[in-house]
Amino acid sequence: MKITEKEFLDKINAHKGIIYKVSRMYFDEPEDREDLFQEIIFQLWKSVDSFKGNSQFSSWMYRVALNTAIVFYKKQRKRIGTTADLKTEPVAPKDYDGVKDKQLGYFYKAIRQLDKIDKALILLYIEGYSGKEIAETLGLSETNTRVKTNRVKKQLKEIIKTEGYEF
Amino acid sequence: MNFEDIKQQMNSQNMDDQVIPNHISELKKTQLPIQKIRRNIKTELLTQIVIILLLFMTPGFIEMNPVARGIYFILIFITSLITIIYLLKINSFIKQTSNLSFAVKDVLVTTLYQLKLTLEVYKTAVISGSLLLPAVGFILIKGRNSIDESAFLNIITFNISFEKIIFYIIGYLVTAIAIYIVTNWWVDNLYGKYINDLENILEKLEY
Repeated sequence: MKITEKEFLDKINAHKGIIYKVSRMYFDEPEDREDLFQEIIFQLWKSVDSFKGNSQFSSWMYRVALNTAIVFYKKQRKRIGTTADLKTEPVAPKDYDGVKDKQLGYFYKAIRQLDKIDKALILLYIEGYSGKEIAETLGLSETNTRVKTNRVKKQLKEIIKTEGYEF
Repeated sequence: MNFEDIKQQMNSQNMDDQVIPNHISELKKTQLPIQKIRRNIKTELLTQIVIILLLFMTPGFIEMNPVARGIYFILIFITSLITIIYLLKINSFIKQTSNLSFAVKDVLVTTLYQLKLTLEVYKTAVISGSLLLPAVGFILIKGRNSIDESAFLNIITFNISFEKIIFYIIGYLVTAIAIYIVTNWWVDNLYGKYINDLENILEKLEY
């Protein structure tokens, strides 16, 4: 059964955190994030017929979103006067926790020093995907995924330590 | 650093600044590099069609002797055939879209393969089509009615001095090599960086 545009957008809205996280992981500038955010929605819509329900909708969304960010998307223009990451954070919610939000900002900042593949791997890992699922999403063997995951976790901790973000 | 805490913080982030549109048509125009390549190729195809049409119309503005006119149309016809075959191949590439539901590695490999294949077809078509153009230009100049028809016939039947034959061959080869170098440089300059980026990502994936 073909999904309608409205049904699709409702479903995307329910899982928009996935697109948000991928966009934020790959770009620090709000304009770039916004561009990637929109591009992912467009690619999801173009690929929606390929979702057969064999996997979870969220897993399928991750695949399309990561493929868009890794394979196809590239920053299009150079920004003048780059703003620091923490200055570009979204407006704080009512239950705003300044310390935790800063920590998350540092974490994203550290993650942006990783290459495109490692970003994807660590995001899937944090989201609780199993080694098998990560391997399937990236197209790697499970052994390779396990080795890479350990290496990236170590690398990320090193970056956080070196940059003085320890938390 | 606790990844479980990070996950919770990520999920509790305020995402109000990112809004899902009410209609797909409200999304901004795509900025994918692959779409830019497709747009570039489309523009170049249109340019080539216009050039071919102009080349077919040219004898209408220049008076040419019948032999020169005949050879001219044969050469233009061959050039057009090469371009049309290439147009069909490129068109199939433009219509193809990688399935982004596949694993990252598969999408990378497929995209690289499609892109490299298309650019090779493109290079071959441009070079082979362009190699005929010096001959076309030569006929347009030497085949005009105002120039003695017998002089033209002498050239195409090689009824000229050995030195002149060597001169024409060297002239043609220099032009051909220049076209080859410029085409390769142009294609690599336009699309090479994107291919290198994809190859680097693929390499890192394997590592």
